[in-house]
Amino acid sequence: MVILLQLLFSGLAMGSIYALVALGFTLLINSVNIVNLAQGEFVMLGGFLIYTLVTLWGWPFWLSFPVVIVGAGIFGLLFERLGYRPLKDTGVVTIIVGTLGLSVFMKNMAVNIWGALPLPFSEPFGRRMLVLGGENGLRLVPQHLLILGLTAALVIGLHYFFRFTRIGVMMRAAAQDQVAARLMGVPFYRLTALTFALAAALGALAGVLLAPTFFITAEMGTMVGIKAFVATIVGGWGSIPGAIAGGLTVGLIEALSAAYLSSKYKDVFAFLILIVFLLFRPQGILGEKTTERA
Amino acid sequence: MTVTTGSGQRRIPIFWIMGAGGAVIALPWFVSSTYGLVLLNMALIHSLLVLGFNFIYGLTGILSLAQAALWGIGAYTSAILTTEKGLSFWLALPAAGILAGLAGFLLGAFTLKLKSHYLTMVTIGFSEIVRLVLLNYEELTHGAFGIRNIPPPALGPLTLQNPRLFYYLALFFVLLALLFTGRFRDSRLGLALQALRDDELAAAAVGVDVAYGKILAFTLSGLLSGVAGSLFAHFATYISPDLFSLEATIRFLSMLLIGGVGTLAGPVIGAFFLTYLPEWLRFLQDYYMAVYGLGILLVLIFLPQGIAGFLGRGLRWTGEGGKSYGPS
Repeated sequence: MVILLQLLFSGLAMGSIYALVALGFTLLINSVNIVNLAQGEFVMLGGFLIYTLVTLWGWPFWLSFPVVIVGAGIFGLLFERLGYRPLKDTGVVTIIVGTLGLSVFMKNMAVNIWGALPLPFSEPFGRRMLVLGGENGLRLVPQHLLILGLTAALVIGLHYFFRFTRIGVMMRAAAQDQVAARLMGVPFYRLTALTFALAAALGALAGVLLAPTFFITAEMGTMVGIKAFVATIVGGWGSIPGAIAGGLTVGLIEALSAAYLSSKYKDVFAFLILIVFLLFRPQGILGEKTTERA
Repeated sequence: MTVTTGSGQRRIPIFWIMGAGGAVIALPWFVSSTYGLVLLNMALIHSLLVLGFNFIYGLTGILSLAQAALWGIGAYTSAILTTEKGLSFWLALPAAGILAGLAGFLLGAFTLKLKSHYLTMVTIGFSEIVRLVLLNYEELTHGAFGIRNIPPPALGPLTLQNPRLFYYLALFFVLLALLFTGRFRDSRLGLALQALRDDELAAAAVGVDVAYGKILAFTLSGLLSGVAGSLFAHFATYISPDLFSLEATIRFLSMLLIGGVGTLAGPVIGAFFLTYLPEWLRFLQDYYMAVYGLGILLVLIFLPQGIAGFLGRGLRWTGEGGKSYGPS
């Protein structure tokens, strides 16, 4: 029972990471209807930036945290300018390939800058454990609590952002009908750039949160990115609550299947979920049934 | 609106063809180093793979990133059949092609209803599953150790261990694939597939069998990749799972993009160019892969039809401009 609880807990924490990255996917799908295959590399960027600030430069963690998120946001603006905008009038597939090129570029630049060896990072909690209820009680990793708490706060924050702020409402309007929104004076291209910044910041946040539970490597974002994409589909294409539900589902299934079925084939299960969903419920958990969305 | 089949071919003088043919046949005898010959053979194997890629992405506009996995299925099939079961290379090669073709068929059938992004993701998933199975199903694949001592193809008493002789074997398959791609592209079915790529709804409305076309493209692509896998296994004589990763697929995709998507010569040009490029870019050292990634983006922006498209446009300067077969 205790083991099951621990598994659920760590599964939800990992699921939150997927949810954050999946939110980045979903925002871009809604605003420009493309898939950014470099989304996972924003996670890696977050990991390496926090390592640079805290471990190499000796900054305090809680000061570095916002700096990294803002830095990643600026990187997202750059990404939009160099990677998306020159290609925006070509086809969807061409843009996907372009983001693939940028993903290769980012990963290999990271290896050149920070080296190929996995970097350890243990801020802000070190290696402490939280034990609830005696010797054989529930052992929790504080980092997992932080992940869950921050993700929950962020989801509530994003909800308010999209519902009540001027920019958020404009973004939703642009996502619903680009032409009409532009006619009403919504600055569509600036919003697109902002969406990229937001997606990059979300990815980097996931990277900062993930860094202490894994090592920081150039490859750390790849699998997270792929699984977050699975979460995007499982949750419901383009649905914000869906991205969160999908992320948590993938995280839970992964934790449980690794413990009870096979840890060697852990990564396979995420793809099996994807295939099962695509075959039997292609609209996802929370998605609406639509016909083609070109 | 008129429909034309084929692409108004000009007649090329016979001595040009003979001259070019002679040069291609004599080529390996002008390469002195063993390493140069290895590169030459790898360029041919890559050509085959990129031609296979072109079948899906170039003709139907579907971005499938399972190419390296299909290649791996071919390589492992051939390697296991010859080393464990003692089968001859000449039987293992078609078996590899058929099995990879079957895998392509299944992939195509399963992803039939999916639109672009979903499909790309499923193929990435497929690719990862294949890699993990190659890595973990040790009884059959020897896991991370890979399979060693794969016998080179033998033709009677003659073993094709010599890269000069292997060249002709690989060349044969590349020419066959080129011939087939050319014929197929201008055939009724090939045109139907291209119509499918340009507008699926319209193509279906005028009676193109969308399902049949897509599955066929996947199957043929798998077949070509499987044959390339078998050739690679018996040329390299050693294979391991990490060779068939997503990274390899991205390499093939770059070859296709740089050569020219949807063109006939493009895949071969791209394969040769990117096989030799690392040699010319030695000075970049560790930055090579980063430059590579950036290069993909730059090609998409500045050379959307690749080298072949660019050359084609140069040749037909006064005409209607470069004729694009690639997905728009």
